[in-house]
Amino acid sequence: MAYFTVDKVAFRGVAACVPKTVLRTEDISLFTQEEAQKFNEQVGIFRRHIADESVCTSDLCYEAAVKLIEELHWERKDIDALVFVSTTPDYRTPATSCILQDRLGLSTNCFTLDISLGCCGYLHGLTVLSSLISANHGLIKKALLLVGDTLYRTSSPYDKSRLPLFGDAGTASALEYDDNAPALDSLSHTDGSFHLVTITPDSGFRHPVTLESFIYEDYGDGIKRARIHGNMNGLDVFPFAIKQGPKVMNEFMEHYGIDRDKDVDYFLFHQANLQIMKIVDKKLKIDEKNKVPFAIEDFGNTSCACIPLVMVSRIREQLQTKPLTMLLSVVGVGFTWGVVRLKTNKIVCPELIEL
Amino acid sequence: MTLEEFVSLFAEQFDDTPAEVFTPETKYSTLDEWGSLVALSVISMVDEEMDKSVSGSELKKCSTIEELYNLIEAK
Repeated sequence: MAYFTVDKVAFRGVAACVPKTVLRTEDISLFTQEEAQKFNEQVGIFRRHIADESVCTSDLCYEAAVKLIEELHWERKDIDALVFVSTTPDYRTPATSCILQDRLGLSTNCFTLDISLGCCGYLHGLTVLSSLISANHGLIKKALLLVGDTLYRTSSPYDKSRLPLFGDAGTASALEYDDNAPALDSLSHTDGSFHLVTITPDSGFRHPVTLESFIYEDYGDGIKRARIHGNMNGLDVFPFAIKQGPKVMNEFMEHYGIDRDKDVDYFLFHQANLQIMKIVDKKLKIDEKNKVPFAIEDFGNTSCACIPLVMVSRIREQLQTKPLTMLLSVVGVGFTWGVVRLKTNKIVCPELIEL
Repeated sequence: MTLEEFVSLFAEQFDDTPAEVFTPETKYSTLDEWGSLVALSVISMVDEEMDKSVSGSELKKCSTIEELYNLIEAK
């Protein structure tokens, strides 16, 4: 069982950056006004922030990191590790974490690592980086977790089933070795038999990009895309998410003996589809009104940035002013799915940045 | 759940198509209103009312409401 209990790592702060440009559902030309309205009601995404082609995920993460380091009053030379999680890196080589180490002016003593993961990226990033810090008994003291994606432009502009779902965002989180920090608990699952359900067919070495990769095919129902575009079969993700989402949360709460009413301040879910979140909340019988912040209406699905973006845009004041226990949960591409219990104590949380 | 109940719940997932249009023989994918959003509602209804999981590919594979009902009931 992929349970982790990682001690001696404190979560010090979180920042997020989104592009300035906002695209409303009504302005997506693939939709009639009536379709746009139905989409808003059912999927819950009214607006999304989208980056122009000159802005990469690393640019958004960079801005978030600069602000976070400044407000934490950290010295850049003290940052010993940087992990970058994204499916939209700057290049295939070199790793974007190396570029960010230099751009942020971090020491050459810094450990860097790229992790390629979408939706579940924040959970995996927290688990991997905190495990690294904890295992090092204080030799790595301060570390940055930079997580984000710019998925809007990975859709075909003629794919009604995918284009409206995604927005762009980059985030930065700060972790620090601390003997007195509460444990971070994590549970993770993988089922790669679903890897074709969300896939960019011609994007790597299995099916390299060729001229044919750019030829559009018509799949009907307002879906035209080429093999270089991201493809998501939402109708196959949906039943999996409404089944496994509640199941993994119950499994986690049972394992750690967590009372959903007394022991949890917030449940932070992946913001992919309002309908999925409503079904999951209902099945879990959790206090949706007071304990489940939503940010999907303003940002859409920002992949691995969803959860830190909810933190910054919806519960910033609470994060700054009181100790909190949060259960973070995601079902996503791979498929990978899991839960992380994150405890914070009056952390640094700069206002949402727009670039 | 009876086939009759299923047809009526299936019909409820549509906003604009009148309920009397729906029979066990209805080929749902030919209806004007059929699309991914209605399909999500059908999947969600099957999950909630029948405690069964139906996938997008299964919705595509079946033609009539009765065929879909039989597939779900056999699970």
